[in-house]
Order: sequence, then C-alpha cells, then structure tokens
Amino acid sequence: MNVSALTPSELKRRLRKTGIFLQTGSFTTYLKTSISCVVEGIGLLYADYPLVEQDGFADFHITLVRPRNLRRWFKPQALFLFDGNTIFKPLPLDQAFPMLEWGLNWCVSNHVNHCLVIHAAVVEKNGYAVIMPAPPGSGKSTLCAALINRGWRLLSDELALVRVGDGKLIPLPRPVSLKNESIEIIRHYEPKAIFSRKVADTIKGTVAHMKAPSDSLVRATEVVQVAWIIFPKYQAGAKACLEVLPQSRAFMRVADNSFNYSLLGLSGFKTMTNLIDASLCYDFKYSKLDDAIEMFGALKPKV
Amino acid sequence: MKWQVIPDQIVNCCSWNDELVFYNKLSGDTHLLGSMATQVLLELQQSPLDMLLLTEALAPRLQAKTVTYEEFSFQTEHLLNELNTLGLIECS
Amino acid sequence: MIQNYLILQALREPEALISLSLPDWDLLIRQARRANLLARICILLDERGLLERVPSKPRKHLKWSRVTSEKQIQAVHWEITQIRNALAKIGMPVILLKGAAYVMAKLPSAKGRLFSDIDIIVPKDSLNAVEAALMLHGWAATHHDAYDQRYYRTWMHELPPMQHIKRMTVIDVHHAILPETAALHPDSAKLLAAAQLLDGYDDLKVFAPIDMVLHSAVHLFYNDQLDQGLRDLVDIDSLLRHFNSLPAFWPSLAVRARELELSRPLFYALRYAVHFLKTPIPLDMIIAAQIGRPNSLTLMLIDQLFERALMPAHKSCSDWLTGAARQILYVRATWLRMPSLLLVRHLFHKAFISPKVE
Repeated sequence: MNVSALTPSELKRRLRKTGIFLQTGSFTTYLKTSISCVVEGIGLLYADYPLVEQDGFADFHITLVRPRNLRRWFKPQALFLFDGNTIFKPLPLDQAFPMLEWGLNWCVSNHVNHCLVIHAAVVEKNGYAVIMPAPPGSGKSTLCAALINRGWRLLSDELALVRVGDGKLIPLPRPVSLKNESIEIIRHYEPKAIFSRKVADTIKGTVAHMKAPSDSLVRATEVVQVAWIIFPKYQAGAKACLEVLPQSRAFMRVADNSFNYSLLGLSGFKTMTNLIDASLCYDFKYSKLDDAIEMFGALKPKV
Repeated sequence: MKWQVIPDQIVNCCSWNDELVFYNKLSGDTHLLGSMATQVLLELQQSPLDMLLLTEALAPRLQAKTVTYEEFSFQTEHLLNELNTLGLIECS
Repeated sequence: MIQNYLILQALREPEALISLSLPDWDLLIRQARRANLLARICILLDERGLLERVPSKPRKHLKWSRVTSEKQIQAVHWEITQIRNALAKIGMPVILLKGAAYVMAKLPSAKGRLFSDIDIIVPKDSLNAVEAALMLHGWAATHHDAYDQRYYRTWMHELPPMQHIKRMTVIDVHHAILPETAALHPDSAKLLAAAQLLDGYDDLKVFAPIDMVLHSAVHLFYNDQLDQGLRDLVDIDSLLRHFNSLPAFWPSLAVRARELELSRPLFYALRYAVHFLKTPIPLDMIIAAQIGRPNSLTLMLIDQLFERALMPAHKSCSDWLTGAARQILYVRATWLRMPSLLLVRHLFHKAFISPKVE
C-alpha cells in the first residue's frame, strides 16, 4: 500500500497518532508528526512510496515536534528528534519539511556503513550511472533535476551509496532539493514537475523539493553499475565542456566528498579504488541545461 | 644506509598515470603522491638503494639537467624523509 | 525487581536473540545504540556463529556499528603510537587506563567497544613534564575557562582534557583514580607500582588485573556521568569473566580492595554485575565482598537509583523516576568526590555560569 492510498485526513491522523513506516529505497523510516506542513509535504511528495507497517521494523525513528517551551507562543519552531534525541537546533516551524529531508539524509550518512556514502547526485541511463559529487553551489541538484526530466533515472540527488564488495550503486530516490533561482529554472524546464511549497530564509536560502519521477520509484531496488564520475560546475555564460580529470585527483576529490570514506578504513580505500578504476572522470562546466543534457546523452562508458 | 619499501604498506597503493594514491593502514589516512615520489617508490620497490644510487637512478628519468646536483639530492633527501614519515619506506 | 529489558537479555544470553521477532529487534537495536553497545552485541553473536541467522534488517545495523568500532580500535592503536612518540623522552612507561588498556592488552572487553578519548595515568610529580611534552607534540588544553582550569588543577585527579590540534583526539592525563578531595583515598603509588608492562613493549603498561577491575568499579560508581553506565558495567562483567581463570584472582581481589580502601565500589560492582548481567562470581567472593556493603537503608536507595540510571537513556527503559535518579546520582558522585563546602561552591558556579557563545 502506498501513501496515496490514504485520504489526507487519514494520513494526518496516522502521522499524529500511530506514526507511519515509510519505505524509501532500501530503508524504512518510522515517522511521527503533527506538524501540518510536514503532513502536507509527505502527502504530496511521498504519495508513491510504500507503507510497510507489517514488518514492525524501522531503520530510523523520527519525530518532528514543536518544542514545549514558551517560544511556541511567539515564533513557533520545529524540532527533529532521532529516536527521541535532538540532533539539530530547532528551526522555524515553516522549515519543518526541509528539516525532515535534511534529517533523513543525516540518518543515512551517519549510520549506513555497508556502502561508501558520497555526497553526490546519481542518475542512470541504459544501465550506466553518473555520480556527480559536488560541494553546495555547484549546480549539481539543478543538473540532476533537469536530467531526470529528460529520460535519466534518479538514484539520488544527495547520497551516492556505493556498495562495499561489488561497487554497485544502490538507489535512494527521494525528493530533489532545489535552491533559490534553480526552483523557477526547473519549473520552466518541466512544467509538469510537482513541487513542495517554497520555504524562504533557510540556511540554504529559499528551498523547494521536487517530487521524484514515478519510474525511479518503481525501480528503487535496481542496483546499477557506475560508468562516469563528473564534477559539475555551473558558470554563467560558459560553453558546456567536459575535461578529463586524472583518476588519482578524482580519487582524492571523491574521498573529500564522502561521509564515511575514512570510517570504512581499508575497505573504503578498496571500494574507492574500484569505483575510480571503473569510471571515466571529468570536470564539467555548463551554463545551459539543454547543452548539458546533450553532452550527457553522448557519454560512452569505458570499454 | 639503504632505503627500502615497507612491503606490508605498499600493498595498499594504487597508481594512475604517474601519480599514486596510498592508504596507510596504521593511521587510516590516505595520501596522494606526486610523480617524483612515485618514481622514488618504484625504484626502491625494485631494490633497496642508498641516496647515491637512488640519485643516479632518478636523475636521467626526471630530466634533472635544470638543477644542480646539490639541489637534486636535497630534494630527494627531503622526499625520502617524507615517505618515511608516512610509513611507506624505512632505512636499514 | 528488575524489568526484563531486551538489552539485558541480549547481553546475558545472546543465543536467545535468534528467536526474537522483528518488532523486538527494532526495540533492541534502539536500546543498544543508545547504550553504545550495538557493536558489542554484533561481536557476541558473531563469536557464537549466530550473526548470519539474524534477520537481514537488524543484522545490517549490527554490522554498521561494528565498522565504527573497528575504525575506533584502529584509531586507538595509532593514537597510542603518537602518545608514545610524544612521551618517549620522559623516560618512563605510559600506563594506559580503561578502553585503551583493554585494546592494547587484547582483552575481550575491547571487542566492539566504542571510545571517546584515551586515558593514561602518570605519577603526580611528572604531571608537568608529561603535559609539556604533549603540548610540544600538538595537544592543547581544552578548558580555557579560568574557573575550569583552577577546578581541575586544584581538586581533580586529572589534567583538564587535552585535544590534539590536527587529529582532534582527546587525551585525559590522570595522576590518581579519584580526586584528592574524595572520601576514599586509593593509594596511586600502589597502583602504579603494580602496573605491568604490555607484551612486546618496554614503554607501555596497564594496571594489574585486580587493579583494572577495581578501577573500572571506581569509575562507574563514583562518576558523575552515568550515560555510559551500562557499557561500563559490561566492561566489568567482561573483565571478571576473563580474569576468572587467573590463579588466586578472587582472593587477591578482595584483599586488594581492602588495601586500597575500595571495598565499597567493589561491593557495588559485583552486586550490579550479577544483578544486571548474571556475571558468575564464586560464593566466597560474594561473602568477602560484604565488607563493603552499606547499611540496608542506604543500599535500598542505591539499588533504586542504579536500577534506573544504569539503563540506556532510552524512553523504553525509563519510568517517571529515571530523570530524578540520574540527578540524585550526579549529586551523589560529586558529593563523594568533594567535601561539602567545595561541592556547594562547584554546583553554585555550574548553576550560574553564563552560557558560552559557541
């Protein structure tokens, strides 16, 4: 049964009273909240995700609440609790849905150790995946959002999960986080895309989340082979250009963008070595999304 | 005094082109070694060498013509000490 | 009197976990994670060849946490190498305490353990030299507040924790196992004198087995931070089970406790190890330990308090008294370590200190 099988009032009731077991990729999250913008966000962006209460097991237990202090009468706030513990400082109440998204990323990047976890977007076409690691502000999510609206499958826009052992990429399709101008750019690029309400003045500026394409959700258990590691960089007016990156340099940069490379020790090194060996590595500058799509379409995997 | 590669450590090295990424399993740190360091390691891996023999082996390959012998040996010595600190080579 | 918490069942009888339902696993994983014992449970199952029989979802969590523990054990080894280098010129062996000691002595207590810092103990008259040597090698004081510095240096049994500026690792340098202000006065010189060189090292020592047990008992029952309580009790349980095979271990433990004025903490350690973890202890030892037993009224109260405070700080292991129990034990531990006037001064300062800007 998917979230969409519940009426809005039934979803609201469950989230408040019993909590729901929400499946995203290979993880189950137990979620409880009575904050209405979170309920609304779940109903809209997680409509096609399975509910799995039958197991009675969740990987992560999350509650979003309004702190019980005097402040609730003034500027209301929201608090993210991981199994009852506060992880982040409270944020203004209207940022509760983005906070849930950041919190879900935190859960994965802080616990999951059977994979090398890289801060990167991952998309796939014809059985080959591109990993796009990048620091904030590089336009990785914008590019990712454009690609998945033009035939690429979304694995994740934030977390590349490279399985230790066989190096396969594990999908974790969740809403794509867009910031500031990118929101309107993608809205125009794909008018049919579904967006959550814009939230202004977060630490990342104005943010909105775009619903993951339903095809990527249907295929959320299909692991993929990596073929390319591309470091995107949006640069106003730049002509789209791929530049070969020496593999040794790519290794160090991907490690820099990884959450648990160092924690994994020798198996992290081996996983990263195999990943780099299997990939063609590039720096990529672009300004026009259509040019970028065309260039990505012409990529050939390593023989 | 001869320098040699610590066999146990060199296992966790990976070289691409002329550079080398090395995982130190004692400290858990990963280091990127440039081309000169990589050349030194490759030489020492073939056989333990002292400074003089190592300089002789490296000089022609690294096109050392633009620097003096003193400069070159100074650089080499510095590099050997760094590789030693990283736990990649030892002297006997 | 004790509730049958899953986390305790898991530690006492890992074999029984095989028949656990998924909702029970869900709860166990959360209790164990909060108690920092997830990796420990993973090891207990793996040693019995049962890990692969755990359902895949909870098994993933057990293995994730084992990865963290393995990394921390590697880091402890590396850190100790750095400490040895830094203190090489001091000219005396470094004595490792607690987790670092268990790792280097290859004791079963090290398996699946998580670490926050490294503790060492040195004679009080070399404290300055050790501090200076560590600073020379990149460790710096963490408590910059003048009150904190004075508090540590005047009353405590250790230097303010020092952190390495590059690796961000923390070392606690002790000169005694209890503050000088405490009512009990275990003689540090005796502990240091009995310390044993580690196999294969001429510059690293650990406490003798009986002293190791006594120190972990002191640490648990006189510590004002009980958030690691169950993990510390697991340490004690594991040490006792392991040292059980040493000749004359139990008789010497009782004698040594009396010699070091530590009969009371030993009594508590044995009492709660048996009570929570069913640690096998010879009857003679149980009888000998009675010398450290407080009066019945006190014991009843202490039982009530530890019953709650030793459990993981998870809502499934709490009742309406848990918060109060932790608070009372905090004041008790501080009380036991300081004379009353000093205690008032310390708590007063803690209560009125203005929040620091981070």
